[in-house]
Amino acid sequence: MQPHSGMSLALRLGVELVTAVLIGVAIGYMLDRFFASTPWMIALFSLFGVIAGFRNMYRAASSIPPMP
Amino acid sequence: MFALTATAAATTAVHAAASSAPKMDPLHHFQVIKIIPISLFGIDLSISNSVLWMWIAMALAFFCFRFALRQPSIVPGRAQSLAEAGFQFIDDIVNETIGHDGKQFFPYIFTLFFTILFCNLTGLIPGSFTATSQIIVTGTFAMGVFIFSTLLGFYRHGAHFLHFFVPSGLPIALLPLMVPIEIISYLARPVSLSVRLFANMTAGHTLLAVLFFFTATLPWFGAWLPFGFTVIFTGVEIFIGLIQAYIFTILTCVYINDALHMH
Repeated sequence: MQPHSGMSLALRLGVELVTAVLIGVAIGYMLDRFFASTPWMIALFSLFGVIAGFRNMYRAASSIPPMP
Repeated sequence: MFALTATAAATTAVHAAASSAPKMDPLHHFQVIKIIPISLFGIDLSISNSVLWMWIAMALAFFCFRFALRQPSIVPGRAQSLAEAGFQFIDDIVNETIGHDGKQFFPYIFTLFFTILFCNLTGLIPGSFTATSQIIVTGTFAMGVFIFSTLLGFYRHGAHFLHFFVPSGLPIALLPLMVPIEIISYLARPVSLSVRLFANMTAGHTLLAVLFFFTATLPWFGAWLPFGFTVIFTGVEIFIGLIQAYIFTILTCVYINDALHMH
């Protein structure tokens, strides 16, 4: 079985990027509601989320064996 | 994701209504219908078509293996060697990603793989329901994996597991920046795990529904094209069902490995 077909790989990396951003935004939103500090936490944590997303994407991509 | 597909469906529905053709509703087969409504202490425990088809998938998986191993012999027959190949496949994944002490998690990973695989494959039967196209189902699987691997990490390493969120060899000044990033990337795991499976299943089945609609409504000289694509994409869907079950399983192994052997 060929586990890393191009399409599944592309979708995997895309999902990896998007979900980390979503988690970052969610955490920022919660912290903002908790501390009543409206734009700051969500701005900071969406930035963190984007970085974490790229980090996850990089990790996922570097775990793939090189193409034959 | 779901909102996006819903709006897309709404626009196509509007177009269909404008041209007074039969209505296209490619999301119709994702509707959860209560077959036996049960309500226990205010909790909705109804038997829906999703639950029913998950049961059918589980029963199918169970009886396939029962059938394959009804008369186990040293020299396996056709069905038995297929079952053994599946067994060997999961065993290889566990050995490669977790290593020797992964043996104890084999039953969990084996069950997870075949549950997802049979849910994906039974969903391709016309008129059936794909349980894995519901994000609540895949989310429950993913949360199970996430909670299990986190608890396993704390059980094996105690408070030392928190070092997982602190990359080694980093200047102290960068820690306030890196720790939230690591925590976010850890929390994103169950979300990406569940969304990937759910999105693949939903997208594939929506595409099939659209193609079926074209096949049914076009005149005979045009219908062969979407019909051909339907045949091809059903094959692709079988492949995607296998791939997604495999990816879910291998990522589960990776997460358990991370919890067991922190790097």
